[in-house]
Amino acid sequence: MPAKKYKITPKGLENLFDLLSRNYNIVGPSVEKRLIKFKQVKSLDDIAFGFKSIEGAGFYNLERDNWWFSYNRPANTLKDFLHPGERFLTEIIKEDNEEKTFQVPRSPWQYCFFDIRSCDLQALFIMDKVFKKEPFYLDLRNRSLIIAVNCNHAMENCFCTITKTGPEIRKGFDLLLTEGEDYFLLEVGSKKGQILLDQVSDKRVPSRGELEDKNRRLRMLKGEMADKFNMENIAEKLLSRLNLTYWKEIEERCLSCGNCTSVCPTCFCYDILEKSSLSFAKTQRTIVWDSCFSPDFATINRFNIRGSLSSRYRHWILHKFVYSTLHFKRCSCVGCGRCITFCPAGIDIREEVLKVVSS
Amino acid sequence: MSVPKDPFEFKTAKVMKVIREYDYVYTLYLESKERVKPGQYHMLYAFGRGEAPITIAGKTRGGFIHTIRAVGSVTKALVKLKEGDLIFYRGPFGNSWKLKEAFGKSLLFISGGLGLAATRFPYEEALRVGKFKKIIHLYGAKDSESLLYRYLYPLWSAKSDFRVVVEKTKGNRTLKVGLVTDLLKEAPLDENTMVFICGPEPMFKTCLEILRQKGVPDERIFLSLERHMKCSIGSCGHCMLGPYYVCKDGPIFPYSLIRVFHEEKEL
Repeated sequence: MPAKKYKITPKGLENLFDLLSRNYNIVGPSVEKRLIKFKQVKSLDDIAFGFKSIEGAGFYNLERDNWWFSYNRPANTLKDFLHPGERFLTEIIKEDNEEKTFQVPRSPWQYCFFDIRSCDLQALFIMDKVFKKEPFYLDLRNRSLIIAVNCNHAMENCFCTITKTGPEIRKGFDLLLTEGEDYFLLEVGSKKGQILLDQVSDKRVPSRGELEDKNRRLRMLKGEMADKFNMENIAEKLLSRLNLTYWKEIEERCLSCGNCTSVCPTCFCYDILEKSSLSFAKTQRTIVWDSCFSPDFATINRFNIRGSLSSRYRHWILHKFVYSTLHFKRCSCVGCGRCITFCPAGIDIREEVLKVVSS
Repeated sequence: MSVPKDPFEFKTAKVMKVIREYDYVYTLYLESKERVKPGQYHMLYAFGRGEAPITIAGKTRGGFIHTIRAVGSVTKALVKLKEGDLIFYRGPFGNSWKLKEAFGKSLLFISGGLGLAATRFPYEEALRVGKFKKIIHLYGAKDSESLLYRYLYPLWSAKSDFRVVVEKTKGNRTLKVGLVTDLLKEAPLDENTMVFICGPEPMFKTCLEILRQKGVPDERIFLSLERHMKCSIGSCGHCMLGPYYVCKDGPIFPYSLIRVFHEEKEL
């Protein structure tokens, strides 16, 4: 069944947003401290419309622009909501020398993720597979609504054409928005989306020219992204270069800070910590994000499996480009470029991979 | 996507008895009706300290056995448990030794130090089932004081070819001195022997070399790997060896599967 397509005006978008805010906790990109971030928003005014981020290797700035959706993906990712940096898992209380456990109740949030770009949507597909056994994630994910948006521009650090994760969004959304001259093209991707759209007033059927316009724009977008490296046979190429000598050079620049893993939409590793009360009568088991860059990530008692920085960097790259392909038949680098922007040493993942595979 | 049961929920078991093997190595007998397979492990929980992945050392009447070396904060708390105490655990997790595939063939177990805790369960299971041509078990310990399960040796020796070697002897002159790899060199191996190994990394490596010289292909060598698992369901990323999650794809691997990743340093 071809997706139903509509055209709405900015007023119709306002109408849609009102409808959403009645039933959902809307999470959308919003400007905070000169950074576009995903956060819970109340009205359409909170969305970072008319802003554009200028990004480079270790560089980020905001500028004004004349499109509604002129920015690209925000600085943080959806894992902030579906796999938060810190969450309680179990509480164990000791009473009369007897231990009792309490599972933490389900999260009350019912999220609507507003304005999800192709890269982040693809990242969600990966996370769905990783957390297929975790009720916390699945429960939130099942109840959430996804309003995806096709990008208008590509910026310096975007490379979804290379990782084949964009720029065109084809599936996985409830509603899909594409910005036109003075209208928004709306495509329905699910029953939930259709029910919602039925209540939106002021919608029309788009003309053939307007549909053409969307495709033309996406074609242009593809051309905007530089082909910095070729993804063909990348897994095989990396697998044949496992030896650390190929990776040694990175030690001179990488700080092992873990910024890249915390902004990566598909980095999921976590640790389980114990937080005990001073009287030792109560303890809370907490899930916190961990990073394969932390020196003690792979330790067994005092023995460290990945002691050198280059081995940790190699593990990260291999996990993205090789292991993930073996696990899920798709590369878990989605080309969002966040790790490039937020690397304090300005390390560009595209250049590093290129260096290794061409050495 | 259907929502599964919470994998982080604890189960409880009652401690039947705790015995001290040597130094700070203890064996816990836990009462439980859980069905466990040789090779699997449990995440044992110590209040306020956390969890540790511990291999199932065997079955006992009405429960299972864990052997723990108290070296970290969790294991130190675990060995302090007394008879009648309740213990929280999760599991069993992981795959198991492929004993069925070895029916009719000969078995060779090689254990080093505490690695015997991991090979004991499949070994005893093999002795019980008795569908194998020959069973050899080579065990090496660091000295005559540090012998694990010494109360079982008479039984094991009677039922199979069980050989012990120690690096240093402290008074006990009856024991052979040397390395487990020396035993392996002189061990008579049948064709189609399946090899199960658990022990420290250097032992592993030397054993693999000798086995290769003896013409045992990698597909018939099985290793039990050690990693510090945190979640045990393949989502925390701590136990990865190459593309494999030791917690759910392992801990038992045929060497042919992990060879590329095992031979590379710090992978």
